[in-house]
Amino acid sequence: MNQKEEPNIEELLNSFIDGELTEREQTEVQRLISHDAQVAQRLRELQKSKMLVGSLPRAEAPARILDEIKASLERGTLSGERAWSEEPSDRRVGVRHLLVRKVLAAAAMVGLVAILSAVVYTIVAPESDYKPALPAVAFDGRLELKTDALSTVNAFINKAIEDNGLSDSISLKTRRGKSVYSITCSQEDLNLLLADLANIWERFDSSTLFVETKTPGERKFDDVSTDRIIEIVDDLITPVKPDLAGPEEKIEKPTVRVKDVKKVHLSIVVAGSE
Amino acid sequence: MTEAININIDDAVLVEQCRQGDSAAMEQLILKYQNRIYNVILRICANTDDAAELTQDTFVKIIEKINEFEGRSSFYTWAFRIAVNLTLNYCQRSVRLKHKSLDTEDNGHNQQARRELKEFLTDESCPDPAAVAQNKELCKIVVDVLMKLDDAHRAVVVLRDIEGMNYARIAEVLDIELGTVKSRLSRARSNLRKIMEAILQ
Repeated sequence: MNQKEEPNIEELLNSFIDGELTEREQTEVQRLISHDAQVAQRLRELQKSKMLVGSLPRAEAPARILDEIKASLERGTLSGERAWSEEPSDRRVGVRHLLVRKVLAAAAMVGLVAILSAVVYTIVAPESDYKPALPAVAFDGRLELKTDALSTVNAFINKAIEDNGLSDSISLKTRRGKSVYSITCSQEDLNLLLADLANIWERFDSSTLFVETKTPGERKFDDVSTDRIIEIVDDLITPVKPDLAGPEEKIEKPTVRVKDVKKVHLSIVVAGSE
Repeated sequence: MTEAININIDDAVLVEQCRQGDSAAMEQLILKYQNRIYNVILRICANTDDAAELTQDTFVKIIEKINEFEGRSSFYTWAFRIAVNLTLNYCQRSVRLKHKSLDTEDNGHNQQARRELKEFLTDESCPDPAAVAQNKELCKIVVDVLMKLDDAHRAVVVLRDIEGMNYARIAEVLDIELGTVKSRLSRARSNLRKIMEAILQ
């Protein structure tokens, strides 16, 4: 075996006990074990660790889970089409589908008009208009990112949004090579999303945060990291502490009273580097 | 070694029926996977109430997103991906709580359980896994040891040694490279051993 391609002996032994090696690799490991007492001992240790974890008794889901899922769906967590019903008749399904199709056809017409209006608006609207109408939020900011790997970055952001269960909290606009993710969610969810985005931060050539402040206008932070953004959001949301740093370090609070709202809003604008 | 799971084409049929709004098919899918998903979640988060709630959230999300399931992976893989992502996100959120609990909790295990763990680890013969499973104190030590692993390491160990997934499927569920599965599993088992040895000292 080529030395450069030879896997770590630990990984090899783990793959051996998990049955993940080819027949040839298995033979090689068996030969290694029979010639090296230390490797044989290590193999036994790994087998025992695996056996201990595998020996944990299998727990059964509480009997109430099915009912709770049904109740959750019935409460209207989902749309009417997907709501749970105990009526198991083909007729019911058929009637419902017909009704749903009629409703969907009407909704599609309305949706089409809305989309066309949005397209027209997108074409004629001024470029600076990135902010959708928002409910009152405890933090409102815009993060402008530039990258030369636009598609990779957008794919990663979309995946991070999906992974963090934020699909319903985000609207996405793509215009003139820019993607604008408008996110309204809890501070905690935003922190989790930013923690994921830290993994691709090196792909950005610049990262600038603009924060809405009490006075008209906005405050700008250049070359921010995800940790810095989390800090800034936290500073703006948490109650004011005694000002030990002096007035120069103070970040102006947003216009909204913090106690009244818990949501934060951040527009992430991703554009290609020029 | 083959995966210790039973996947069949019925899933595709059930998924299609779910898409048509068939509540009986939804129920069948839930009943088919609820125990395995609950078990994996429980071994990652180590709390029965949280595991029950996360299992419930997993199935609600599965049904909500069933129309977005494109079939590029099996339903089984997709369902576990949702379950593990929700659980790891939850663990991440509760990280402060967990650290606090580990700092303050007395993890002292009784002498008998320690002695049995030591015997198990030093025994040259191959001990009976069924005997381990019946030893509640020993199982408690193993659960505590698992919880001391990093979340990412614990997830790989649970998917491999408890759910019985092969490396390729773990890579799909966690959306990581096969090489990453190997290295994480290797480090995780090595750390497991170190933590157990530390408990015995």
